[in-house]
Amino acid sequence: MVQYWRAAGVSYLRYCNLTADAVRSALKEQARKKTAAKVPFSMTKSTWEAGKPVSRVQLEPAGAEALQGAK
Amino acid sequence: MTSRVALKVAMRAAGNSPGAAGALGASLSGRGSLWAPVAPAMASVGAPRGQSSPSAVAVEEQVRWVNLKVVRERMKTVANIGKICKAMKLVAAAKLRGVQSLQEASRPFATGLGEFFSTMDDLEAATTAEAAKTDPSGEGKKQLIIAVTSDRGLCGGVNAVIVKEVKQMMIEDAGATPTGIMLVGDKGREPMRRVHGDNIVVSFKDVFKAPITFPQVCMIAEDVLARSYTDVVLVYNRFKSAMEQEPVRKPIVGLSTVLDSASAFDEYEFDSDMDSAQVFVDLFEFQLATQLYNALLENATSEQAARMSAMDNASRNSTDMHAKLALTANRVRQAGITTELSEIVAGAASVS
Repeated sequence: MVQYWRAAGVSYLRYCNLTADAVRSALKEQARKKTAAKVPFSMTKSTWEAGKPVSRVQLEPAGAEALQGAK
Repeated sequence: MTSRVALKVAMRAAGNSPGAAGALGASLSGRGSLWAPVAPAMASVGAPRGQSSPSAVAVEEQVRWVNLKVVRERMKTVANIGKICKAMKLVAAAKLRGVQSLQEASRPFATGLGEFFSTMDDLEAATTAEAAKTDPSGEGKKQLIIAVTSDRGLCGGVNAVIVKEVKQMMIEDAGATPTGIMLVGDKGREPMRRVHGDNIVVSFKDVFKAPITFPQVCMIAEDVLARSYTDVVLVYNRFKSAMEQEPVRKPIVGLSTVLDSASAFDEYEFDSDMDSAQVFVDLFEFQLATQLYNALLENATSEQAARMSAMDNASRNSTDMHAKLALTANRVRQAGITTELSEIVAGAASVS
């Protein structure tokens, strides 16, 4: 018997981050602003092959929290 | 332009005593100053009084006239550099406080999970011995090295030791295990590309631009999980104190090892139809993310501490260099005045 998040194709990490986002969205206005300020990040992931970077992807926070942070 | 000319002329003049100039230059650049190539030239102008040949003296006098302006300019530059280094040190100190509190908060999670999984390892050691007998080649073992470096430089030796550590690991392995290298941080890219470029599988940049958050680390961890590696080793700088940072290799117990010890949980009841193997998969993922989070934070703290101490040394060096240049400038100025006076006196004597 598999966990329901794994059955839905989501890893445990993504699942716990989504639930953390849900908890954070239940915060009152003051605290929510403080946590939303910490959310944004932007990193670049490059995949390498035979000693050369071949592709580059920009990684940004995913999920509802990101949208709230953008507001 | 003039400084380069002065350098060449001074080097020719110092041809008699390269040892003295070299030694003085070496002592000036003792603590890794930024201006090592210039120092020997300046030293050779001021110091050796024992220059006997008249041609060398004549050349030196010419050099002295050119050098006063150059020395004053150099003094201004060095003072500016000193100010910049001092400012960078303060900035690093402020950032250190911030990252250190995050790092201290993350340590209990990492040590707790680490200890828990190390017991798994012990359990596994017994069963692996058996498995090794049947499968001595250890095939199917794939290793991923996660090398954590900083994005920015001027932070002392923290990145160099990581690169050295990874190179050492590759040498120790001697190609036995197929190894992939994941780079977190920009500074590890060039040195690793030169030596083990073919092993690099993925690199992350701008990780440390904003303070690291757990969701951010989870993205990196998911990338690791998507690749099928049996062993993962984290290589990062552990923060011991503001003075001491040491490189550390932290192996993360692999999923297969963990699952093999899943029977340890059979004594406990799980709610619903969950079984221990499923819980272990979740726990393994969480462990990877937590250890990675801790490693990144420890490395970031080490980076700030090393930058603070490097900038402290640099500003101290620049103060020393400024003092020495001031002495040189005074000597040059006084020599010029003496020459002028002697010319005037000689001229007056010839007229009268």
